[in-house]
Amino acid sequence: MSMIGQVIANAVVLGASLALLSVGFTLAYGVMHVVNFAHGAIYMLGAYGVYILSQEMGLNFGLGLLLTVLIVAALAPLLHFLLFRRVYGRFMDSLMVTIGLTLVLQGLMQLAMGPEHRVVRSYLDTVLHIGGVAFTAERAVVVVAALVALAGVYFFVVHTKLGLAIRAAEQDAEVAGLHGVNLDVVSIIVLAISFALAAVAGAIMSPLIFIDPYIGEDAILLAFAVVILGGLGSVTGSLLAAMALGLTLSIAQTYLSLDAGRLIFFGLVGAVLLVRPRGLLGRATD
Amino acid sequence: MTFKKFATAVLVAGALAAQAQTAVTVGFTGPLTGSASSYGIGMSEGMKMAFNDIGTVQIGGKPYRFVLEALDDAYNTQTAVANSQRLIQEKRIRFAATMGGAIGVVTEPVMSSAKVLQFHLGAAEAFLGKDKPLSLRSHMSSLDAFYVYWPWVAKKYPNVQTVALFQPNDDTGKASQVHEEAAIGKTRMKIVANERVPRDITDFYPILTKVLQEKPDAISFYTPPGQQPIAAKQARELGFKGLIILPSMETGSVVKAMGAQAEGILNTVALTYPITERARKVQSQWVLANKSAPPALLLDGYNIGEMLVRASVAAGTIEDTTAVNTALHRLAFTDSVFGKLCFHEVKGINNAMVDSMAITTIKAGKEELLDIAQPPCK
Repeated sequence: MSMIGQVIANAVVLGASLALLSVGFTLAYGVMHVVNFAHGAIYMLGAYGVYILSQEMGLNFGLGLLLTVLIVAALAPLLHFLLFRRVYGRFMDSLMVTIGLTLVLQGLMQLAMGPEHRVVRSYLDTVLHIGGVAFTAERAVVVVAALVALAGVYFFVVHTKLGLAIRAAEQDAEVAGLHGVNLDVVSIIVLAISFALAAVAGAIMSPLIFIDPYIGEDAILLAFAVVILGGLGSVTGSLLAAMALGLTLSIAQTYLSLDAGRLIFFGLVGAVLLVRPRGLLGRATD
Repeated sequence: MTFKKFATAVLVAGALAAQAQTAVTVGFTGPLTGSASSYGIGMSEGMKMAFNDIGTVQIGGKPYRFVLEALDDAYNTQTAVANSQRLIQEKRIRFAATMGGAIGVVTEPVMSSAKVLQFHLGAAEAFLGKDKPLSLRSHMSSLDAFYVYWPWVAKKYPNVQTVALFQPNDDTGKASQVHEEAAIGKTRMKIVANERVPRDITDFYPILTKVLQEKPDAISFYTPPGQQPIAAKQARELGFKGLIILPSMETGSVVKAMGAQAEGILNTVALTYPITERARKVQSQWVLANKSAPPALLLDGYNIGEMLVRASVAAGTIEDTTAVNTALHRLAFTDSVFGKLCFHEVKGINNAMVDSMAITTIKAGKEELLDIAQPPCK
């Protein structure tokens, strides 16, 4: 096994999973100025969705993934009107409400599925060994999915009319509203994209981890660090931060220890914020 | 007291139970959620089953029924301490059980100060000692098991010369590491990597990338049951072809996660493998009632419940925990769900239980018995 090659391969997968998770989080903040801490719980729903559909109901993994993403994204209008709409632009309120939503979703999942961990069966057994570097097909899917999802979000936001409305709302929601942009529709679409990205992340990561109702807690902590480092609201910043932190974590965990990896990961976030409080590509806010 | 005599006493007590029975609340704190939840759930459910099976017993001429008050600490030490205080203050418990070495260590002072007789299930040693007479280790811990199964591995697998070890990064792991090193040190095998990992991690790729550079012939993942299938699967993905040892593994989860790759994996502490007819009956009863496989530690929990009730009956008290503890040590448990068991000395006090232990492997997706190691009872 080529150690350096394996470390880089590990970092790419880790970075891709962090990117997938954090881009949806930062997109929601960028447009609605909502800190959605329930993003981790949505990730958990994605993992359980694919588990239930593919493993318990016997559907093909791909079909299970598609249905899961659709179902989770469909929660966006409901949660928009019920919760998110009331806390747009209010940092602390949105934080508290979404922490509450996390607890509710975790509790409901525990009631429905029990607290015990579950193992999601592999859907692709292939392991590629290239130049002494092991790379499983399932891990390759994480990288491809991250690339496709990010390219899709980029295309949607930059090259479509709805994307234009999203960008307008992101720059100044009030002025965008005065120019005829329906802010409810824009917010629901952004929330649905954000939920879908979290669900994809949870679903495709599920065979690589064990799942329980609390898996989102660690995921949101890492994603939050990525988003803060990249700059709240900056999709490109999140992407850069995810890759940088993925590499840092992978190198530190391999050459030092797993605990040291976490320490350096969060230490690096703190150090960058000391020099640049708005993050790598974040905009100055009032 | 043999099980037959005990069962007769229970039947007689049942007949006398027309008069009102008093509930004896036994406390439990352990992980009912999180990566070690299958252990906590199995242990607490086992205790409940034992109490239900035994029903009403006569103690000091009065009918009593043991009931379990189980609180979740999610393997968090602060929560476990709070749970212990709550159980003592609100439920006035005289007996308690805990799950997890780190949990046993932090709850012992709280419970000992209230003279609660404690059954701790965990590999840590800090809850044992001459100054802690009411604190017991209630299972064949890994610390004792290491000295049984590593020589067995050395004998049965002559090609295994080098081993890599994984332990949890807490009190349990720390104690395990010391004993595992000592046990392997007595064999011809050499430790080439010895890693402590957080209980919640699921990505073993970085640490395995490093460990596999040392080219171990065998890897032992003595990590929580949730982590074991993931860690073993990732080791195979990274090209490891040697022996994988998953002490206390859940065969079903491992087979589900690894498929054909699970073949030949060794379980050196097969907690769920029924080595007695009574154990088989308890497990069948669980399967019938719950329509699911028996959880790990179900038998351990059942055994604790049974030992506690038998000792209380023999001592004739539910208040004097020292007397119950003395009775517990005097009783000859030859027909427990684990067969023969006894308490042996650790840190100058005979408070660590040891019992017979199954060593199994996975063949064609099923758990298969390789050997039964006997406890070092005098």
